[in-house]
Amino acid sequence: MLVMERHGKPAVAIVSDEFAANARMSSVAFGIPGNRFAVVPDSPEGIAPEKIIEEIDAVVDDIIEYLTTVPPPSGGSNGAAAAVAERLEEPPVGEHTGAAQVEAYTGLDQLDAVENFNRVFIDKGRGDGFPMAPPTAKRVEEMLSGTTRGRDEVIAILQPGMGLATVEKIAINCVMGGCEPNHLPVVMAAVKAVENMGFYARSWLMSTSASAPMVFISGPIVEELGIHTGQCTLGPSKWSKANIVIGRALNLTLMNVGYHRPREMDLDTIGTPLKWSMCTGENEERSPWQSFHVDHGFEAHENVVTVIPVGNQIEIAEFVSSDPRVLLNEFIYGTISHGGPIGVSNMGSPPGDRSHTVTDPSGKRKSLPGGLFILMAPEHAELLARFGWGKESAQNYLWINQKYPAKWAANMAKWWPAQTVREEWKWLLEASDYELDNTMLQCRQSPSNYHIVVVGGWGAKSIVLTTSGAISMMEVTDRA
Amino acid sequence: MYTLEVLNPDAVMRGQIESHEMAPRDPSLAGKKVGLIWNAKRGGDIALDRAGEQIKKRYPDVEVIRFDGNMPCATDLLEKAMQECDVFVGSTGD
Repeated sequence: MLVMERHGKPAVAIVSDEFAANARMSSVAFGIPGNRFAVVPDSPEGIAPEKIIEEIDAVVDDIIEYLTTVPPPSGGSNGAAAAVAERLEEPPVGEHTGAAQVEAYTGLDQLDAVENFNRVFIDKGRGDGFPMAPPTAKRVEEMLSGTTRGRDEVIAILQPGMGLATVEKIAINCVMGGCEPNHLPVVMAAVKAVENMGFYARSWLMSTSASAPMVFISGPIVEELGIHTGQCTLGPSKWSKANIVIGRALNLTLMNVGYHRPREMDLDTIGTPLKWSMCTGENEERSPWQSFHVDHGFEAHENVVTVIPVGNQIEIAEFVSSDPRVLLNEFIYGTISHGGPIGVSNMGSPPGDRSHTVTDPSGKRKSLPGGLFILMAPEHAELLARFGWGKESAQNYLWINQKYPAKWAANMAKWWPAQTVREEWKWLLEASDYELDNTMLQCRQSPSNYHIVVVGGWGAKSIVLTTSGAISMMEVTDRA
Repeated sequence: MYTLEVLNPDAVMRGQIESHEMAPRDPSLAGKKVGLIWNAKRGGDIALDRAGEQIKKRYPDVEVIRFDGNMPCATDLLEKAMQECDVFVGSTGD
């Protein structure tokens, strides 16, 4: 609708009350703050047709008014969006140079002032609920020493709020998350990786599906920064300190620079604890194969951050066989129904596979198709390697053998609106019950939808992550 | 009393420095072509069709055209819609 306005065509969107704040924020993000919406009480997606009609009848006059009048300059907010609009008008939005503003928090003593800072920051939606380190000028200055980039340089426009990601704003969020200065370039690369996802970042960040960005690090920097890749790598521990603060800093940056805040521009129906922090690295020492980033055209000496939009995590426990095919079959059976249809619908799909590396002044980058991102336990990888299996063979095997009945695909396909069903899948709509019952389909479009990295410590337990969109790789650059 | 000074973590939104005017409006919809943009989410089509019917009741000479799009909506469909219609109503489905 905002596109229409920008092209000189009056437009009004119908939104539900819960999502009005989001609509308002999107209008500000895209530079049309006066945009108005017809706000209905319920989402049409979730109510009966009669109720939809009743609710639309109640806002038709609003729709006509908004299509025929321009709001006064200060107006434009309605419904639940008003509170967000008020907050946006607060001083913190600040100077357009991107320079940070100083805020003061008082207390009876230092501890009291820090507690007050945390209370107010969390109340303003700037935090993840856990206590944060105060981003004092001194701490931010120290953080900036981790990069060669200037503090006011805008290195990305961050979805979904289209926030100007200056080096300084990222550094402030890194301080809040507990990072060290040498973590800053990694978080900067992760921010650029999210930006490179384009519209599709907006899609998984703002979707009502719960998705969390996982930061996966590969290259010599894993050892240099002490990224923990072994036992309990993804859990809370003293060994995973660097992982935890890097993952947290990305999420804080998404909240404060990208405005990805719950009930504003983060609309998860239920949400996920994976959002607090999810970061790990490749266990190169235990991997029998070449590094993930080398698989994708990067040099072994290069450091790469891969951001994966994660939906679910599924454990694959296989500790009895000594047969690669038995092992891979467990991956097949355990993940068969996860990750959605096989591309029957083109809703929300990226336009093709841009699986080549691109180098520009900000570094080398690559986009990979979504699918399953397999965190393979070293024991599982070693079993495969012992019998001569490479990653490519395993990917091919998984793709060839992971199949499900056409009936499963048709179950949803017949409900997709016609315009969203890809041409090559329209036969599903016409197939007989016999055909649907007796045809097996590949679960995913190609072997490139299966990604394998070696992660973790002892134990024959791998984890498979389903992705909510394309995966983005970005070289870590600008380290001081 | 202790005062703690911290730097603000919130970014400037691009839209705050590159704002756009809203499209000019005519005071009446009489004689207009009204485009309904559906993003394929459940119930959005019902909501839009009803909005179209109600607009037509108030302005019998409007022409209502529905465009069945997707998420994200294809650029060529949006361009076609903008060529054919004067004003738009959309449904997010949320």
